[in-house]
Amino acid sequence: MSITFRSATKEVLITVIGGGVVYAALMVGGRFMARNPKPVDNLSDGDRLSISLDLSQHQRNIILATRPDCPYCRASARFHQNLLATAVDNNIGFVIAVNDKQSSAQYLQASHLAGAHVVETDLTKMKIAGTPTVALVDSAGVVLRTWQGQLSPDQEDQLIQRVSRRDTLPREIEAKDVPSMAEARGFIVVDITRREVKHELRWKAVVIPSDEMEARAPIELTGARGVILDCGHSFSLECDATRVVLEHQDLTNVTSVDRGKDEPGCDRKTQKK
Amino acid sequence: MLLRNRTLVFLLAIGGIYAADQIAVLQPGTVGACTLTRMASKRVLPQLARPMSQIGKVSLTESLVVAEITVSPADGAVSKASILVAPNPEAERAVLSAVEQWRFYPAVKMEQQVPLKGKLFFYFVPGKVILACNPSTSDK
Repeated sequence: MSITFRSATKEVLITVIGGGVVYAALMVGGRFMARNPKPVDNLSDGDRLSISLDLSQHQRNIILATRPDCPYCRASARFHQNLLATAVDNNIGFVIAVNDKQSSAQYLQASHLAGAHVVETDLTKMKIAGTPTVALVDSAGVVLRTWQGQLSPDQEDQLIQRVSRRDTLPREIEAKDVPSMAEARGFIVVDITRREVKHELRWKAVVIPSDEMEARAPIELTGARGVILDCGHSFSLECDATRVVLEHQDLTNVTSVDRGKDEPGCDRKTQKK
Repeated sequence: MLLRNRTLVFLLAIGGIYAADQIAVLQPGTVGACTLTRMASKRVLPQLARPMSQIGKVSLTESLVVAEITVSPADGAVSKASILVAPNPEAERAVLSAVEQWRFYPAVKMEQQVPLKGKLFFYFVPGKVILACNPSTSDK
């Protein structure tokens, strides 16, 4: 009798403690889950395009993600037509991304968009959460700006103005060309190395660490004809992020020093030793 | 006895996870300068006793003072301030004295108020002080 009672007590205790374990795990797990909710997969500024497209022929490219069955795309068709014409006039690449080329052909024809380069791709894999999406992408596939949904007339005007701007600088320039470009053409050289990294400047440059760019660029770089980014001591992602920040400040004529063809003395491996 | 030990270990483990969770929440949240400026409920601009031109350098970049601050979650006051860059000691003192008077709205993370950390940028140009990211001037 006593053995049965002790055994039953043990069972009850184990059940209670087991329940407590499960409850506590759910509570703690719930806290972490709530703190780190799964982010919505959406194409954002600074992302690299996940589809393989040769964008190197143009400094800037417009990617328009559209669908024939999307009412907002149909409502924006005239604007997309204007955007295509403006892009062609200003030597900007224009790519239309659709889920299915065959079913979209009639819509694109009717919307006078058939002249653009059309690619068939899974839009969700491209992180396109909704259509229409317009992305301004540089020659390396880095997304500089995105516009989603049907735009207001003001937003449409801003986008057309942005596309109409003729930027002269290529995505990257060689280190040897920096001094001449800075002096002869009045471009500002900006070193984006963070404060924690001690280094010597290679050129006469304004030092604006990448994490301070958003605050300082509107004051120190406003009116600059062009900006040459020296990202020598920074990660390439940091360099791309800085481009995006400048793009949002309307500083669009931006280039960076080609890291692949950098000066031998500035080789990253050599510096570590 | 064995069962009690297991329970104790289990409770300690849960307590440890909970404590780590709380510590993670209370880490200072580092924010960009523009976000930090927007979160200020009271801004005080630094004032120099004499014009910057009399003190020394006046070019825009060289007139910059960068202050790094930590905001207390309890009252939104600046609990720690340091100067990262300053053209001269007078500008440094003026900025330190000003940022200590700043107040901030509470930063809430996971329903708990957390300390804020970030940088503020002041330019001493002739005749005025420019605050970077000031919503009334340069903010878009």
